[in-house]
Amino acid sequence: MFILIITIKVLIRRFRILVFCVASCIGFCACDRDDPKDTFLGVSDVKQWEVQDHSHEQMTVGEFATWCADDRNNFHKTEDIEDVRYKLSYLPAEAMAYLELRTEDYDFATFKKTLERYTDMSYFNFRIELKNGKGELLKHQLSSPGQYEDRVKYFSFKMEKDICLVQGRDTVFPGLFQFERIFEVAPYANVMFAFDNTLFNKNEEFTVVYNDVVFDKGFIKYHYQNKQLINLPNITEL
Amino acid sequence: MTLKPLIITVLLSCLMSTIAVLVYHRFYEKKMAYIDIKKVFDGFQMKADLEIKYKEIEKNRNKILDSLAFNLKIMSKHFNEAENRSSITKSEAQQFEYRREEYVKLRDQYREENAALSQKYDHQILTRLTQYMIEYGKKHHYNMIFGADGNGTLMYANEANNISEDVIVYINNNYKGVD
Repeated sequence: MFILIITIKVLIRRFRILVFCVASCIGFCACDRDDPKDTFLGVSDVKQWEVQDHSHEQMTVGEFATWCADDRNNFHKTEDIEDVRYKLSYLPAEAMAYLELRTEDYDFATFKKTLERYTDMSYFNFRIELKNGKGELLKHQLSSPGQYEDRVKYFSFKMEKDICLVQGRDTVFPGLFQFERIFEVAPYANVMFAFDNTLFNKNEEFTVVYNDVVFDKGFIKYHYQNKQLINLPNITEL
Repeated sequence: MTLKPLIITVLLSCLMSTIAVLVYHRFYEKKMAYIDIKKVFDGFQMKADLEIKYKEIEKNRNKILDSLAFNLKIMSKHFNEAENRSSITKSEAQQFEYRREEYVKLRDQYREENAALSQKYDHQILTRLTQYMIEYGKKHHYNMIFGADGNGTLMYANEANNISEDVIVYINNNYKGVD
């Protein structure tokens, strides 16, 4: 015992900094910061990200388009269910105007004029994609040859009935709907739809719901928070 | 022997023991927990949503069946009230028989379709639940998550390892698209 005490004493004197560092590192590694018991009822999971106010920011059209594509703004929401990926993207009116004019030479006045045409509705792009990235989406897991035609008809004419926006107790169906058929070119299907801004309050939180009856995945929901769609940067020039 | 070295020794021993326990906990301990399957299944919002949808479809089908049954009852009453059975025409009897068959056929069809729909919704819920459980387990570094459903698969577990409440919050947030 005496020898041990002497040894430890010597060790502490000579290597105390080293001992401290090693102990700190090990202690830090040992802390499991993802333990759900660290939070009350996993409150860390409940906590939503904070909506940033970008209304004071000014940027060009190109910068705005890049800004919209940034995942940190949470305009794009993805849900993976088994082998299928469902991605919903909110497209601000400015982005819609930019998409329309991007192949042309235009001035700021033209941009403003084009922008006015998109301000009445809220536009969303919805992409259903095969996660393994092979083949045409509409041919995925076909049970009969006739099912392909049924799916094409469904996506073209009936799908809009399975998409809605829920806010409080109100349910709004798309005022505009467009299925973009791309055949075998890519393993996904794109759908664009828009909700009439007069039928819901853009300031408040809402959920876009899609009921997948084609691949039998059921309800898929995308939540948008209060003021998420309104505190956008201002476009000042091209 | 003075008291100072002894205190240092004790403190150092405590420190080393704590470090050893923490290292063991972090790198060697198998992190395991369990969920009450019924509680999680019942607490899953998707189950509630699909239940409402199912009941709506079932109610609409029952309305159609009730309407057919009502017509059959009226016809049957008319036949019973007829003073003379011979006053019932052949076409009336045929029509009654046709409607009765139609009713029975539709009732059986709806029964089968309701069972298939219920099975389909259960499958959708379980698929989604399993997926979210896997995500939850990976996110929180679990080695295993057991499902207690009272059939003997899990005979005993300390209540402290019950993560059902956390899981319900997690799966519902994922389902609602809140992340």
